[in-house]
Amino acid sequence: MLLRPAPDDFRAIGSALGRVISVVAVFALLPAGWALYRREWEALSGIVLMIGIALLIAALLDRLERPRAELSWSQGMVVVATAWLVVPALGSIPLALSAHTASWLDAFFEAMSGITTTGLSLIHDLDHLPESLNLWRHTLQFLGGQGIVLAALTFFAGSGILSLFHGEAHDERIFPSVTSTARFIWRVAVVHAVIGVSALGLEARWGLGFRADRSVFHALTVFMTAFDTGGFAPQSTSLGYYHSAAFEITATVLMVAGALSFGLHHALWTSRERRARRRRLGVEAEPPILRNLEVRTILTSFAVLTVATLGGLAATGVYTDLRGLTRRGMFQLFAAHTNAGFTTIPAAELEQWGGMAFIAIAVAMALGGMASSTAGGITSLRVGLTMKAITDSIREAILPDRAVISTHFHQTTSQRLTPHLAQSVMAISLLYVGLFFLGAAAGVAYGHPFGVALFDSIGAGSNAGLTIGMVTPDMPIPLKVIMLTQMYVGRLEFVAAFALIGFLIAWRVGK
Amino acid sequence: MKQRLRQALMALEGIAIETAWVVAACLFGLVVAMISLALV
Repeated sequence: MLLRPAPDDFRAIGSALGRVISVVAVFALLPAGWALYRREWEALSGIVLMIGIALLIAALLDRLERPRAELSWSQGMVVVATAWLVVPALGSIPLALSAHTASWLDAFFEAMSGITTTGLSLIHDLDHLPESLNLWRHTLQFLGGQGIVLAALTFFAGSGILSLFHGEAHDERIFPSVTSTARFIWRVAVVHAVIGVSALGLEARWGLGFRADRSVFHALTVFMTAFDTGGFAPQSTSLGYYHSAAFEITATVLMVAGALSFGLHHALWTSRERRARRRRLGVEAEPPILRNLEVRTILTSFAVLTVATLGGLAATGVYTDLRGLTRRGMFQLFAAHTNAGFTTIPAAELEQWGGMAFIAIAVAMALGGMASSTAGGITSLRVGLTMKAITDSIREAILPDRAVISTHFHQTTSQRLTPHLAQSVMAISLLYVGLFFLGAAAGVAYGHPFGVALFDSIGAGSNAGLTIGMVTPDMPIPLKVIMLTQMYVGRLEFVAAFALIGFLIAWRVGK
Repeated sequence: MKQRLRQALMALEGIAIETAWVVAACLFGLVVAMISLALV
């Protein structure tokens, strides 16, 4: 029997939601400051209005009497799922007021694409969008990549926050405390920000000859969407605008850093020290990172897809010189596999790729980066575990009955692939495949070729954001809504979204 | 202070490893591209 949510449930959810919403106001100060500096008064008024509404909602929700009991698992999931709807709704306000979007739905699509780190855009005339609004789009992606709720957790510790943490697709606690883990995730971002913005800024200033403030703007925006594998770019031609190999390499390093799990960052940052300490204590050195199932999976998939992409491109003859083939092919593969979705070529050129290269890029987007990273997609851990579960089943079938099959895998520590874990991993992977085909079917229904529809659908569902023509401002409204849903559900990895649906059903029909 | 400096150095080392991975991947791509072009 479904139990109807009690007033205490609403109070607990509302109270936590208010804290999350207040984060929007904090982050919006960055574009607001830029609007002041650039004297973009219309854009500033939209941003200030959004800050005001966010603070008002947060203040009203803060007045709710907070129940003494901890936030339950399902309440936490509902908070996460609702926050990921409310924040883009708020974030769309300045975009909707800018006249660079055709409707509120387009502005919401843009904000959802931003916050889910997808990178699909419905903005009209992006090259003339006020810089502060452009910065806001990128800030949304940065916030979404880091995790909106995670940002709130960094500032506000409290009871029952574990469900919030997991609800936002952060599966791995690096430290025993969620707050410490959240702070470490921010520390990784800040360190990469200092180095990334400096490198990109210097390249823009001295390599490309940009003005100092323009260099800062481009470095900051590209850093935010590269590290958080978002894919928005300040110009309509994406990173192709810069025609700079140095810029592309720097962005690639940032994309790869973003696609690595934060647990792996922690291992990279501490492994040498830990090994040295263990050696001093006479304990055997810990296994290297390369033993991790997820690292092995992503390296294998990357190697296979490199061969498929470059081999396919060479076969179709799109690029006949070594430089063009390597630079274009590798950058696009990195952008797809890390789920960033930048391009250095026009969509029409990408569509021409055809054959194996085209399929490889689509598969790379679907696979995505690592779990507990800023990237989306099925994620390497799920792919690795699915492959292990399948090979274990085959071994079980062909080996003698008495044979003992190891069900262990290495992921930071040695872990067991239980039937329950295998089942849940496969279920989520299957849901992703279903999500991709749902969008493709909708695209085909609206007259797009199957290849184009599937490619763009994978781009939305995996939050990679590459498109070859289906996503345009004049796209039919139902298709926009389907892609919005794909972005939202794909980013939350289904669980929190399902919890929200369950909560709403219980509210309507529960007793 | 010394602890912070050590942490910063390890973070830099981590980013250097990430960069090395990207460079290694690009070199691998270069070899694959050379073979692909030679084969067609």
